[in-house]
Amino acid sequence: MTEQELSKTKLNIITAAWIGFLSASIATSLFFATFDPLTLVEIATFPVPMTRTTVYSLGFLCFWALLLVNTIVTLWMVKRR
Amino acid sequence: MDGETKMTRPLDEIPVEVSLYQKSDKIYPREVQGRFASLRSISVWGLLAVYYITPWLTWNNRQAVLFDLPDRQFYVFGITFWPQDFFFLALMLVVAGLSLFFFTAIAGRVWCGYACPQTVWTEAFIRMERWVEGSRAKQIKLSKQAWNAEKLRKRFSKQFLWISFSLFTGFTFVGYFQPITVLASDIASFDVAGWPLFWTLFYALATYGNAGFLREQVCKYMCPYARFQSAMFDKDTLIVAYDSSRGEPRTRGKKRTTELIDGGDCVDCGICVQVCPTGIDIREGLQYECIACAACIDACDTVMEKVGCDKGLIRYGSLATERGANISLYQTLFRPRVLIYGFILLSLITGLITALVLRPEFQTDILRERNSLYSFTQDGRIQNTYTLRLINKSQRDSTYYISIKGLTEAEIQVVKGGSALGAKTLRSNAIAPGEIGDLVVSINVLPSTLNKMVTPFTFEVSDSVELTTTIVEESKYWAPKQ
Repeated sequence: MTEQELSKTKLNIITAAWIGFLSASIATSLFFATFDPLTLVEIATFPVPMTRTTVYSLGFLCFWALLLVNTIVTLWMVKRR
Repeated sequence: MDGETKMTRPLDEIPVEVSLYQKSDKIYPREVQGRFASLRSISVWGLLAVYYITPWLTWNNRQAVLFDLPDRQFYVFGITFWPQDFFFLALMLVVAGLSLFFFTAIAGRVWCGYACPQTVWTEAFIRMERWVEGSRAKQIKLSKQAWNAEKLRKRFSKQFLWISFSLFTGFTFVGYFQPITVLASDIASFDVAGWPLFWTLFYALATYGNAGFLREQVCKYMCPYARFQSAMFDKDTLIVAYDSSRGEPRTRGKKRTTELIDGGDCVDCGICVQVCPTGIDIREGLQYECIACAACIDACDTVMEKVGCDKGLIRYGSLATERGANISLYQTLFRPRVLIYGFILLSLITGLITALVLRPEFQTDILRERNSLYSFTQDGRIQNTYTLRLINKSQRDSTYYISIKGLTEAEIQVVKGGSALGAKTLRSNAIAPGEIGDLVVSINVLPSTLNKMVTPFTFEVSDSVELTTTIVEESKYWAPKQ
């Protein structure tokens, strides 16, 4: 079935997304077990009123995005070496 | 550059671009019945039931299992975990990881075949697909036929079932992190907050993608465990294996009756390949795609029974037994690898339980006032203000008694959350189980009694007047430069 076919690049991105997801979960739980988002929001350089849920969610998504970019760039560079 | 390097190498060393990823056609696993299929059904339905029912259980008038992220408290039945208890979570994850090692060493990839969420939800999706579209043959026929009313109806019903099931899965997932009854009524009244809605849809999409679309490709290409599980294998680990000495040479049809003498037991019906959810041929030997679901064992046993041969042409075995070694169950279970994993696992579980039981029933954090190190009272004393954050981890209302040691002639004023109980002792207000109470206290000291800018002293906090369990918290008293 053509609809089921996945190219190598797509599979690489999905794999990077999945491993990044796992790592981001660990990073998020470690980070927010140590720091209470409400305290962070209070002492932030640019204080923005945000609820804990918002900070957790944004924190997770940021970790994930960073890890994803990191993996994809690494993969690309290793391939081009 | 590339061209030059190629020129200097001999022809047969020039790397050829090979795609390592075969184009994967959709796998239609054939339905199978038997011992292991029943076992897998029980495991799959049991685990799904646990997942969907758990958030609806109540305990002491609150959700029994709730990882309340907004309030930074995790409830697991009678136990409340705080961010300070993160250690327990970490330890539990280590225990979970080691259990995986332990069970892999004994029985191979039982996790993959019976308990992995990927398997469990894929199985649920396959059941729905089968329910709407029919057997494997019917599914393949349907996918090949041109679009008509029947195909449209079946495909629509399947997607409708899949999507609703995914959405309900996402909703349940979010229900572990915020009260599910509130979430349910919010959804019913179309008034869900942004993030809960986002995560519900996110998790629904992940479920649909993994169980409906990617399926065995997750195990083959994305799962780290599938790649490193071989490190936990040895010659005694249980694997699904085809008895090639008995099965080969494969003979089918008329040949079996005419040349029976030389033929092996394998009738080459290919059913073991058709039932495989990862689409491999187990007769080619152990492969990393094999998730040890044992569907091929059931399928082959059924066929062997029909053709009048002994069952077990494909069976659970180990490399050692396949090579003819006679190994008892005792030898399989009590070998060094299993014993070492078992010992570490047991010590960790014992440690975890001991730590949980001995966990203090309350905890104190001392926060100094942030804005100023010290101030002066009207009668010329130095004043430092502290917030004692009292965390009641017990299951009953508690009052805490605090005494201050290490400051001479200190005068204590309770600003909030308690009352003075003598010159150097305080009592907090009653704090409900699982709640935090703040006791704000000012300590006034005559400048003449302090000879340093910073004087260390201690708060001794106890949960009874008799001061039986006492937590000592150190803090500092600030005075102006002398």
